[in-house]
Amino acid sequence: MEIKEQRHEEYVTLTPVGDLDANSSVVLDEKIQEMLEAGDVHIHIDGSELPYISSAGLGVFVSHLDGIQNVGGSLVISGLNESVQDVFSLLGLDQLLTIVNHSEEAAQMFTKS
Amino acid sequence: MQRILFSAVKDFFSFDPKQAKVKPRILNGLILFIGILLWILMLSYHELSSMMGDSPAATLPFEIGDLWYRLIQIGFLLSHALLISRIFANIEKLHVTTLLWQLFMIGMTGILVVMLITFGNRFLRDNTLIDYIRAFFFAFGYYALVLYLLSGLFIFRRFILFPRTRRKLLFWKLLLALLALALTFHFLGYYQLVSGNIVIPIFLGFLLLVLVLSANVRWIPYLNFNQKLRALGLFVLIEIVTATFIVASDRLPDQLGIPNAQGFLPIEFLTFMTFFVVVYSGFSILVLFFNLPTTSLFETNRVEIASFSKINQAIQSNLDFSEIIGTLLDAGMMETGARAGWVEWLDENGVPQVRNKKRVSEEDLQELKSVYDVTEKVLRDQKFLMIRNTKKNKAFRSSNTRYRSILCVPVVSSSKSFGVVYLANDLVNAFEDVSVQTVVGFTEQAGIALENAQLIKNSIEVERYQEQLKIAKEVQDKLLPTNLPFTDRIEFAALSENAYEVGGDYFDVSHPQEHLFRVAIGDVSGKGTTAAFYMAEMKGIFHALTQLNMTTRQFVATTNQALAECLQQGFFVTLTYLEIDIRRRNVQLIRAGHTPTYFYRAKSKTVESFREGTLGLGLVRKPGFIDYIHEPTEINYDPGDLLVLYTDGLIEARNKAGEEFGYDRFQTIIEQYADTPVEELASRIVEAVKTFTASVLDDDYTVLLIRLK
Repeated sequence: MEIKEQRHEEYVTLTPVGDLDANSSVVLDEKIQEMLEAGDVHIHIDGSELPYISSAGLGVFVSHLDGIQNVGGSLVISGLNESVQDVFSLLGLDQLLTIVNHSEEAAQMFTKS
Repeated sequence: MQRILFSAVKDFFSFDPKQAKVKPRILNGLILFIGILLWILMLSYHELSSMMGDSPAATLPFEIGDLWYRLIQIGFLLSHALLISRIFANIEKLHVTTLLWQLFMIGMTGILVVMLITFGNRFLRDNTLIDYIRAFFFAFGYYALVLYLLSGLFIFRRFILFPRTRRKLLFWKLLLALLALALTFHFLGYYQLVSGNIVIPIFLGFLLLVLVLSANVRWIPYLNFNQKLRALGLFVLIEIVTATFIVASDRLPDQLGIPNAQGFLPIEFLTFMTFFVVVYSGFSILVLFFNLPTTSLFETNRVEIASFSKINQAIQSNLDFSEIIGTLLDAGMMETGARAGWVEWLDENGVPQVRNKKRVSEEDLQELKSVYDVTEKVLRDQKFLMIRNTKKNKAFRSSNTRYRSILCVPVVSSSKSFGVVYLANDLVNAFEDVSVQTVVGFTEQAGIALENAQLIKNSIEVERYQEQLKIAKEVQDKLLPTNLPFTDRIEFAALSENAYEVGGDYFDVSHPQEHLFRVAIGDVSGKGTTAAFYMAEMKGIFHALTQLNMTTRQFVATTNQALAECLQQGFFVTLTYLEIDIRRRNVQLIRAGHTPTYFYRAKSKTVESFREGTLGLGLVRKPGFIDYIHEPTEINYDPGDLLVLYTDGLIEARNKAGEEFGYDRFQTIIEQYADTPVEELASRIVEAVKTFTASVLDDDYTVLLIRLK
């Protein structure tokens, strides 16, 4: 899986391109791990190029949730399509993660904090 | 009747002599029998003719007799040649000394027979009867000679045809043809059609052929020094035996006082064969003799090959590195004549460790190490490094090493480095290119062999894992309930399949009280073995907790707590938990991240789904999870209503175009077949999904149906 990376002043935007399943989720997982280790704790996931997400893909966000909170970082997800959004909300992840509609909203959330 | 006749005729014509196989041993016996019969015939004929010859009154038609006699002679020789060639035809492996020893023993026995005859003759008094016995003895001595010469002929055939080539085979056949020609002329000689002199050109041809064939002593280099010495001795003995035998046989008639003896056997034939045995033995003696001094060189080569095969065996049998390293080092030192040697072998972390030291001290090693890391360089270049003179080498000039020549050979394969073999000598330029190439050659081979051995080992491990998975599947299959309750108040039906051998889907039914059913369906995130373990964990938790009188919320909260203890970071379990009270016709439902349950009302023929829900289990691992859990969804049902529980494997199944099966299609199927028996509905749902994807499903799936009555 390809992950586009765009650095902003306050945060970094990651745009995973393609399906996020058991195989590709490893790539995203490593990427987030790297960023946390490098001190980039404010992460924005742009989900606009994410057609599908499997339960293992969800696991990536779940596993980093505590880690990001512990280092005082934040994770915002935006631009999910309807079915992916549905997967998130069915699992109840919308209660744990910050999920917004557009990148702009996400940007606002980072600048606010 | 006609048919029987027909088949009999057919059988008769289709008779194949090849199919009627005679056992080789029986055939040999038959040939021997014929041969001996001919010999006796020959002997009695000879007896008769010499008896008649003694009597002046004899009017035996000699000429006709002679013709028949010669025919019998030829028959005798050919049958024995056939027998002996058959005996020695199937020597698969050439055991030089054994074969020579056999030939020698045959010759010795023959000579012994002749000597006994000569010796015994002294005690026989002269009278007519004794003459016949003498003649018999004489013939017996000749019989032994023929056997000996034929054995020589066919034993040496195996020597000459080592290794067998088309050309050699042709020459050999030509040799046999000349022998046959000599016999033919012998036969024809009776008619005086050909003079005796015609044998001379044949003999010259034979001589030439024997000389050509005698040059084929390719078996000699394969013998070691001892074997050569023994072979040499045996050949000399064979020469002596042959000479003695010939002389003794030649003198036999005179000693026994047998007249007309010269015609007993075709003398040409005997001469030819004697000549062959003598010449081939002589040649072999010469070549063996001159080969003796160079044997050690060949032996070194053989030791090389042997040590290489030892390395290979060590690699293939047990991957015991220390044995491989030891053998490599020994072979390398022997090949190059190195005075010292050691091996640096990479350990699991890729750090070189000195494993074997031969005549080298720790100080010597430190001295060399202080210059620069040769091991690292050699492994990086994947090429051997040879320093011909350390005193003239830029890097080593400054060191005090006592070695002047150093050879470092990497043991590597295309993808992996194993270590470096070091060979050292205190002489300048001590390593010859030829031996260096050899050492490099077999270390390269060892590298490849090591890699292959590891690949094989890996594939065996994979196979073992697959076996383990099969067992895991059997165990897991037993974890899912097989006999679901099926009463007049409630009916269950389920279908479940894993994408791999084992999976993370789970469903179960517990029946703690007469009127109460507790049902769970769950899905562990991910697929395969990890998921399967958590699925088993779920089963344990479910059966423990459903025995207690917990509320549905308590059950979900406690399950979450129990799973939080063991779930790996990033893993979670989605669960739908139901408590069905068939007395009150009421269902309580909690959805923890799982796919929404469908509910079909038989009366109104409508399908609804319950989307109210809470987080998947294991996402929040704090004790306060119960606050996230919603009040259970309450359903009051009427007879004929239906609950449809399932995992996302069915919804997310995709066709070739990448399109999901989705909730809408799923709901349509339920609406369509809701009133059919639950088993049928279950298989209709799975079928519909499989038809949609037009292939196997790549996720675990489960569907669990509950008909309420």
